[in-house]
Amino acid sequence: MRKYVSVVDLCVIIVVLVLSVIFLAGLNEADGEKIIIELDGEIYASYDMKTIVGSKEIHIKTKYGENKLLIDKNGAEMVYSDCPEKIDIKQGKITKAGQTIVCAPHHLVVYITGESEYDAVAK
Amino acid sequence: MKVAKIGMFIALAMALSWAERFLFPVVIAPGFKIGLANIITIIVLVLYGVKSAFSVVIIRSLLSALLFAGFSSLPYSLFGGVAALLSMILISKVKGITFVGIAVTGAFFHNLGQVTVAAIIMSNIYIFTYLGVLGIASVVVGLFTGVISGICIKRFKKYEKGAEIWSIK
Repeated sequence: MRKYVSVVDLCVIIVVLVLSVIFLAGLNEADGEKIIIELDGEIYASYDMKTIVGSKEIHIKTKYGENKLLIDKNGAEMVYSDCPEKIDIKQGKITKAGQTIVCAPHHLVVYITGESEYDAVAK
Repeated sequence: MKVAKIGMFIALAMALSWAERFLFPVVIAPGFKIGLANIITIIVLVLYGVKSAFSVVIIRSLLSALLFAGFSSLPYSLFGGVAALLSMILISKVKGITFVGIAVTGAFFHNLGQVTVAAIIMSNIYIFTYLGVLGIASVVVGLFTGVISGICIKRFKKYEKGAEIWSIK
């Protein structure tokens, strides 16, 4: 190992890991409040998680392609997409505030918003 | 001669990025690739210099878009590739760095570049939260591609006299 990794390399690795942890910590692990579907940066639809009864399938058909999103009171999951790599489906179910599902070929972002800390303080 | 060699490396890079889908079907994180093509970028950077490395990255992105991925993927691969290359050129100036450090930096900036493009195209800042997982994955693949690049360059240097443009040990 010593042959391939120098002390400077280790420093680089540590810096990258620390940055990653900061990004991960940026995820606010609060419970979600709303599921937002965005297309081209504009809000396409939004759902209040508390009011969703059972599970609901949302069919999103746009000029970029077709997706099906399954939402319930706990979160959202992409169940169908006609994009080539199906990365959005592999991302699985999102349940916490700040988590996202991205379908880049279809310019689609699904994310959960939560009560921000500021709101909580204000209350 | 040089043009022919660069052409060969571009072909090799494209073949590797195609092959890694079958060789490494395990997904570390959705949308994340091992980035075997980055090995080629590092080799060309070390053996033939900055200009050649840029031409490899840019031509590879254009050809991949034309042949496989489609033009909607072009900004991602182009921006990711250029960000990775620029970061690797800068970090390689640091004393004592080896190929592992360079490869990890390249992998991280490749992801940073792509996530930035995604955030711009979809005008959504939340996408950056995904960088945490991708960053950790970059370290894993960087270790792997860095070691391989080092071994390859040692071998290539035997055939390329005066190729030590970059004095990385």
